[in-house]
Amino acid sequence: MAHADRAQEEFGAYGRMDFETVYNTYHEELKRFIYTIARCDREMTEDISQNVWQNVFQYLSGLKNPEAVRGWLYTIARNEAKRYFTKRDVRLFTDVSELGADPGLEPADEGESHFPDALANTDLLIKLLNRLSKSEQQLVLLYYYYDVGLTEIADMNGANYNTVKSTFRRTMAKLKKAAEEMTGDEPLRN
Amino acid sequence: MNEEKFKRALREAVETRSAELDFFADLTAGEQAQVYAEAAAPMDGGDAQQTPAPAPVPVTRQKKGSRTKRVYSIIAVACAALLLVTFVGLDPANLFAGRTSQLDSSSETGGTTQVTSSGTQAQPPKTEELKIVNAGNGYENLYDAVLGGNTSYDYSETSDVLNEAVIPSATLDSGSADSAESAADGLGSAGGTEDYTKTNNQTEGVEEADIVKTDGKYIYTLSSEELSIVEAKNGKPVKIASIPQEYLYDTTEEAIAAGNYSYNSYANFVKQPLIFEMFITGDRLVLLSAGMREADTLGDENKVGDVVIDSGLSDSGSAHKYYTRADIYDISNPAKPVKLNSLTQDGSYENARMIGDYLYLISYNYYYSYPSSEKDLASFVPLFQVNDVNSFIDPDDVYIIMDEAGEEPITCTTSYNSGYTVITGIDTRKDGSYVSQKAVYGFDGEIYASLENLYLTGASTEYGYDDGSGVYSKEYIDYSTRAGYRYEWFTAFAKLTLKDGKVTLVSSKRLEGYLHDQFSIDEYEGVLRVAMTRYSYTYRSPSALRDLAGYGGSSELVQSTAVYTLDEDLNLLGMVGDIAPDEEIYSCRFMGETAYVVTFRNTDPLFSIDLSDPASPVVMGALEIPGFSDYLHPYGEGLLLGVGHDVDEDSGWVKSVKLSMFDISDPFNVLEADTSIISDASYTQVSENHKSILVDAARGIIAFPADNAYYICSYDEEDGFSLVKKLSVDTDYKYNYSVYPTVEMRGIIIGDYFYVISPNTIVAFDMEDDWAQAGSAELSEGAWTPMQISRYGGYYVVE
Repeated sequence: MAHADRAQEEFGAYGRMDFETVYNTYHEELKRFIYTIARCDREMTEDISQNVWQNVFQYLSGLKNPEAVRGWLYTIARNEAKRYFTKRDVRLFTDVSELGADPGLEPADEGESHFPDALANTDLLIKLLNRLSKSEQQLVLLYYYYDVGLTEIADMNGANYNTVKSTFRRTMAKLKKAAEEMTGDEPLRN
Repeated sequence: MNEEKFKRALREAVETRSAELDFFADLTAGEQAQVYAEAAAPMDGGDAQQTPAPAPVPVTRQKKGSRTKRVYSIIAVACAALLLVTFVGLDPANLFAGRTSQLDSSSETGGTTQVTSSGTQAQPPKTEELKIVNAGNGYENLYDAVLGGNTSYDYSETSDVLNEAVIPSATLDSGSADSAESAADGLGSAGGTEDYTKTNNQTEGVEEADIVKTDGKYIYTLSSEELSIVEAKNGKPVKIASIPQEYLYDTTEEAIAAGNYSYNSYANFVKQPLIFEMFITGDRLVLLSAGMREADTLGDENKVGDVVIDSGLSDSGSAHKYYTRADIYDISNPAKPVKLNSLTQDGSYENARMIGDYLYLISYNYYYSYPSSEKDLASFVPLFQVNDVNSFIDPDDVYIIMDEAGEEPITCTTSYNSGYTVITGIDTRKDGSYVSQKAVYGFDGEIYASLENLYLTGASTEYGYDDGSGVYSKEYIDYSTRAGYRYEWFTAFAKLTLKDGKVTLVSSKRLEGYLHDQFSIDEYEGVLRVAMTRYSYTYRSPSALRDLAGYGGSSELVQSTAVYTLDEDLNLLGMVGDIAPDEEIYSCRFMGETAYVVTFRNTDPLFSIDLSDPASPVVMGALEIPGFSDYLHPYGEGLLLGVGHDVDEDSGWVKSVKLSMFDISDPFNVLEADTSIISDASYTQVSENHKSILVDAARGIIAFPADNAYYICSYDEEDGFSLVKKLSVDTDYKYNYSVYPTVEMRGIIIGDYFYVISPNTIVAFDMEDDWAQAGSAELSEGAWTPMQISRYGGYYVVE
């Protein structure tokens, strides 16, 4: 990726990391990551970004290894996002008297094992993603592009893990179904 | 394909084409200013500029938890202004170059068109006159349509198309003398009281199929194992008979051992039941099944009449064909059901309705591959079987709807593949027979039926590409060179009349917008009312200079809700548009002269719309509440029940299931009378299937499944909602590919007893005895609810 290459060059040339270089190199992609977690809320994205860069400014000198900087930045971003959300007061109102226990769903693997070939086509993928709702798009991006697990997604958003999991499953099912619909994939059989 | 390829495509999308992703639309819009600002001041930790947020809509937000809500009424003032306008060529960018789209001037349609003064989506929708052609004597028009060819069509049949067609085939019933018997009551009174729950049909008198049916004495329920026939017996249900399920694949140990199937390390082999829904009427039980078969095995030795046919499909690599079958049974003695006839049609099941004794069965057949030749009829012409005897559809019964220029069939499917809809009318009396067989090219969308008419719909996105001139034309331009693209949703309607089993296409029109679900369409006193979302998306590519990792492009999404009224020929009578810009329709209910529409983005306005004068629909009021309703149901007098979800206002996360009761006694001033959040339920089947809810306003009972439980709630005006019973079901999920078996539940009230039905058991509660359990019956162990094998293949075993 262009930015990472640039980073290598710059860091290599100066033999050090200074805030300005780090910021220039990673600011855009980090902002996109935070924007994803913030579900397109620009104010929230600004708030969290500010906190992130303040932390970076403060602690960058303590980081010796330039190669680790990208991972380190993402960790800070995730932590700041989580901190931001846990400040919020999430309340659930209910008038229903009987609250049952969690219906015993067998916990399955979070990830999916199989994808229709059509989803390897970026054009099609873009079209289909755009048809999902914002929450659904966010889930796909966080899980499959940013490699954030469902538990963490739930934490960061102050949502219930089971809700996130079932939404995720349904979203992936929808995506795959739509991809098959587009191309008429046949079921497989030996 | 495994995860890696998918992730790679996603990476490409995010890293090089993020400007095309709606998700980042706001971000990249701001970025345009940012990219330049940063060149000057990179040390600024925050962003230098922010594009101003759009002006907020001035509505009062509802406070959570309070019982009575203040309402902010919007009376669309512009609607009161009557404007008589003629529109020609609405879109200056001329997206539809080569196709004239104009609204007939008012004298033709006979009504005035109201126009609100803001936004292009307040303008009347683009509409199109369409031409109807049939297949041609040798099915050549259908062949051309499938191949997408532009060869000339044989119009000589056109004048006959809309007349009553002669039905020559031997398999069709020529109509029996005692047609006077076809009364409007769907469920006969084969014993039992009238005091029982019927299926939650959209339209009174028009039955919809379901997994559970009752006649007040017997309960019929379908599972992955069997159809169970249970005698209700005043709260002491007893299973008296069953009809075994059929499966797509042979799931016996021997077949599996023979090594014909592959296994998935995550899941065990999953049976795929074929029978998924049913009807009962009088002495008849109709089981609907859908499946797939080898194209070579078509009925009796691949013959139609005396002619052996070769499907031709096996050469092209797509050796499967989907079918839908109706099995007619005699249940005059429910303990001994007798199978009479099996009627099979091409295509995977779409929908069905029963009006009196007539079944209307609708299926959709995709063309997964091209026919090998014009002669290879079985590969592209709709085929039927009665028991084992094949017949092709009559070419005069095939309708191909052409665009205004008459050159090409209109696009009215969301798929890249073309296909056709098969609609049959079946008389279930005697042994069951076809009265009518029709096919319409395209139309894989929502279906709505009134007592007299059936409406097929088909949605499509129309794309236009800009080569830099600012004009969007249909000619495709690759993303690396085009200046932008635009797409809009359109929906085509095909109206067919239903009369004693006879189905006839009478008109067809195309309109801008798309439908949310079957409840967005309603026919009332000869007027067709539709609630559509108008949606137009325009993307302008970044210029080469600004193209850093895909930033710099801009996109514009224009979306709003409109309600149209159409006359009997589907011409536009009136409309009210630009309702709730930037929001989507989440639910809709037409109740006589009023429509209630729920739209949602972050909050949920519930709009009430006056349709008493079809030529001038008017928005009467809007109620803003948090969360949204997926399903609306009229409740008693002056109340409207909404079932949906609560939403976290800050993060926008969809949360628990929510019930709302709206006071609609004054449509100008709708109030939320009561609300209740079911915090341990994150999903309810009601959101997708209106048949899963039981609403009995007389008894004050609302019952429905959510997650893996069945909730029985009561409602009264004093205390609002309260939970009467919650029943959990143990399920053994086998997670397999993209679909996992679900357990659907239904509730039925017969007399004083409430029966909760799951695929494994029926439990009866005595409503007069404080809901004490009165009896129960075991049905089949480990069963789940059969899902129809869809045209996408349903769920299947994967390597």
